[in-house]
Amino acid sequence: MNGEPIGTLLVHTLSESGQALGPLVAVLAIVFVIFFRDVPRESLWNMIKGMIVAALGLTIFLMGVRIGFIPYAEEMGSRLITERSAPVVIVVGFVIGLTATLAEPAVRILARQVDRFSSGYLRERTIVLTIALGVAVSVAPIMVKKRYGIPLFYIVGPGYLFALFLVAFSHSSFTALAFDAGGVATGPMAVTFVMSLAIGAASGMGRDPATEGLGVVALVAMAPIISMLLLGLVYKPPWRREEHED
Amino acid sequence: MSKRLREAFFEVAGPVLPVALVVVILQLLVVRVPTHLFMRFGIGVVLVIVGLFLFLVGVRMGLIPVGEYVGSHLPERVPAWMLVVVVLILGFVATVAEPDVRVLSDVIDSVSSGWLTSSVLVLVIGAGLGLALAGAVLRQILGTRMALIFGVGYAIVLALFPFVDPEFIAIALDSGATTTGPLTVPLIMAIGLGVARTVAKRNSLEDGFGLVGIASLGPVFVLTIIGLFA
Repeated sequence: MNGEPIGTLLVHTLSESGQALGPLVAVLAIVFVIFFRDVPRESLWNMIKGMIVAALGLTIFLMGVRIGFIPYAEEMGSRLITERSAPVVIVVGFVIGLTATLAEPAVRILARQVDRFSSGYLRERTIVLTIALGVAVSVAPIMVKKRYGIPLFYIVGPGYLFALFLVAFSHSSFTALAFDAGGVATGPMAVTFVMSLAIGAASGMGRDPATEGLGVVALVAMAPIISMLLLGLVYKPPWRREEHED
Repeated sequence: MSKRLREAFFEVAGPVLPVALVVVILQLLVVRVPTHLFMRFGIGVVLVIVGLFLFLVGVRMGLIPVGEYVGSHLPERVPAWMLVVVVLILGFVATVAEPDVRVLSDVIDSVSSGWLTSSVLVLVIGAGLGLALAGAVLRQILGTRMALIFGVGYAIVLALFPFVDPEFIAIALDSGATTTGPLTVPLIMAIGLGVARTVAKRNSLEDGFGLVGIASLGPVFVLTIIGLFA
């Protein structure tokens, strides 16, 4: 990854985005041709332009992550683990996990939609920060797990049990948001940093780095579920969405 | 003018600046990563800012309107089961096309004893997600409680874990998060909100959200089951 030429990366990333978008557009096109022939040309054209811009943006974003973030994060991960004490690593991991999640594309989308749908009752910033805090907190158990080789089940089991316990006391809206949050938090940005720290910690212990990535994403995904459910206990449900046009 | 420019800059670069700043501080105070990597990081930050900006603009312009169209206008024209089928196909296709899912399937192929090839796995994961997504839309129409879905879903998965190879547990849980990429999330979310507005005719957050979460549960479920026999 370190020395991969930028040209190769560009072609690779472009074809990836194309592969992801192409079939989706094909199915949508069929749906529109069958059911929505009467959509105004102009708005149809806008949607197509928008999807192309989104795919292009995602490609450039992933390029940036691969050119700049991944090589840097891997190097930093292994140096941090070998040169610094465990508390320093966990603090750094916390701060990195927190800030990296702020730049996560899907997290932004979820937060904006919630803000819009709840007419600002739940602010974009609140949602983003709650998810980011969840990811940040997850770094510590991930590092400890990797350091001491604790089986994933011993962390995930109690974690999800606690989440289900919280669900029992939560307003359904927050249950829905919480599990959505778990799905969006694990994007290219957060996973890049957390993964490289975890692999750094594991290979420092002389274990096989190939399988060490396993389970990291699962833990990154679990933490925001819990943090969103906790946020839900603070907010006073139920609320009404005021009807508004936008 | 300059104030406007500054606001526009922060609007665009705002999400990325904190992590860039943290890295600069780390580089100066905590770990010294070789300069050429640090320079590459600088290039990466610029690309990430530009990319994220374009992505968000494009999503607002394209993917969200498309999703809301499907979610809110399709039910007016076709029976509910047809909507569920369309969503199932969309979820399946989006997952099978997602590059990360192929990477994941190769990993599973190499970990399991090879009785499931990675191309079959891609289809299985896609089917898991498609079915879960269709179930999520059905839930919106029927108004089943969120807590019931996640409670029962994760309770079953947790109960099965002791019988599943630990490596497979990791893979199953990873897969749930991996399968929903940045292009599918806005689409799924917009479909959900569209359905909530028109079919469910309710407007609490419960009715519009949760689709991504339920969709992620699909592959976890399927792979846990497969793990029982791997």
